[in-house]
Amino acid sequence: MDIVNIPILKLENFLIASVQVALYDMQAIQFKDAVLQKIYETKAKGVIIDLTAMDVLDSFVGRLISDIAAMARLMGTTVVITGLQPAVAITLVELGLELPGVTTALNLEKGIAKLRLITENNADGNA
Amino acid sequence: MTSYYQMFKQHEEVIVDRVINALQTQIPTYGSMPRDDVRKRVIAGLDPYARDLDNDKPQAFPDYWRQTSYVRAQQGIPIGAFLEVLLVSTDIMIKSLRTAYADSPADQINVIEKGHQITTAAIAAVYEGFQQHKDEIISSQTYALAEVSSPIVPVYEGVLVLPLIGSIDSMRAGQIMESLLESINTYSADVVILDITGVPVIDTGVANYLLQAARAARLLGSTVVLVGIGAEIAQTIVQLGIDLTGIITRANLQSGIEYALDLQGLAIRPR
Repeated sequence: MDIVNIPILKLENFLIASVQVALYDMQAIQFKDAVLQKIYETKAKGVIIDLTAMDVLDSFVGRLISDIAAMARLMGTTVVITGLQPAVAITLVELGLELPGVTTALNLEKGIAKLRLITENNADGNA
Repeated sequence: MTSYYQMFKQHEEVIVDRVINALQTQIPTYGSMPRDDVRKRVIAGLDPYARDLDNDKPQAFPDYWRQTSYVRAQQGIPIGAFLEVLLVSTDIMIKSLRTAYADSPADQINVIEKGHQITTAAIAAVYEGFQQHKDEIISSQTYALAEVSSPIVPVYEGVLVLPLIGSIDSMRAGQIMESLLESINTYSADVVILDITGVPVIDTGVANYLLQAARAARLLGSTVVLVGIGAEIAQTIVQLGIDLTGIITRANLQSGIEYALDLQGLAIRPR
């Protein structure tokens, strides 16, 4: 299976990964490893995973995404999912995968705003 | 041996005239129509019939009637009226051909059998054409009803109101869920207020759909607020044991909008 290269960009304290291709199981696992590795390297406060271009999402990838969020939380990072398509959202809910504990936002812009809010609140709480 | 079609062609003038006379005397709409117009229609109708007499299976005539019946149904002509036209004209057609084959009983029987087969197939086709038109009406009305009954009102930047009117079945609930999620995307709405003031009854299926819609909306990054639950609906929801804990509820549209603005750090204040 092809290795997909999903660029993970750093913007200020945040990481932004935009998934542009359909993810198969192996590629999704690679993506998870890459995100976590990057969080470790950059000590990012937040990660945005943008799924605007994804029109199919299966249960495995759906679960993996909530796993990434849970794992990132352990590393002190907040994950925000943005741009989920309506059809994908319906499918996820019907599969019973409601991504509990994952923050979501309509688009990248709102996602960054949400992430700022959350990380600022966290900073206040820690101080 | 000449084919039935050739036989028909030989007697065409006479048969067409007889059919025109019969139609004009028996059917009022044809009586008031110019004779030339009737003639055109009769020829257009009898030609495929005569062709089908030579075919193994009736094809041309039923096809002709399927289309005609569809068009007539669109014009609002009752099915009985054009069925009568079909019966009158085929009857004369058969009788005339029988006379034409006066010296050949085998052909006579053949013509009657074939004719019967063709007429029956045509009646079925008439019904099909008619039904097709009715189906189209029904589906367009269903569509129109669905459009009318779930408008989406953007009341403020990032705030949508979806007033639901009338009883909701699972099909409508599914449509509502889809249009809700689509409009969250198009308006990039942070909050959607579902107003069920105009919904008389709610059952477990519908409640489940609303819950699913709320959860799916959350995945998109939006919040659903359910408002306008009346006393009766509140009782039903509790008695049915429907768990709405995942959904934020407010008494009425007003407090729903207040809540929505509050979520965005806004408020309505006197100047």
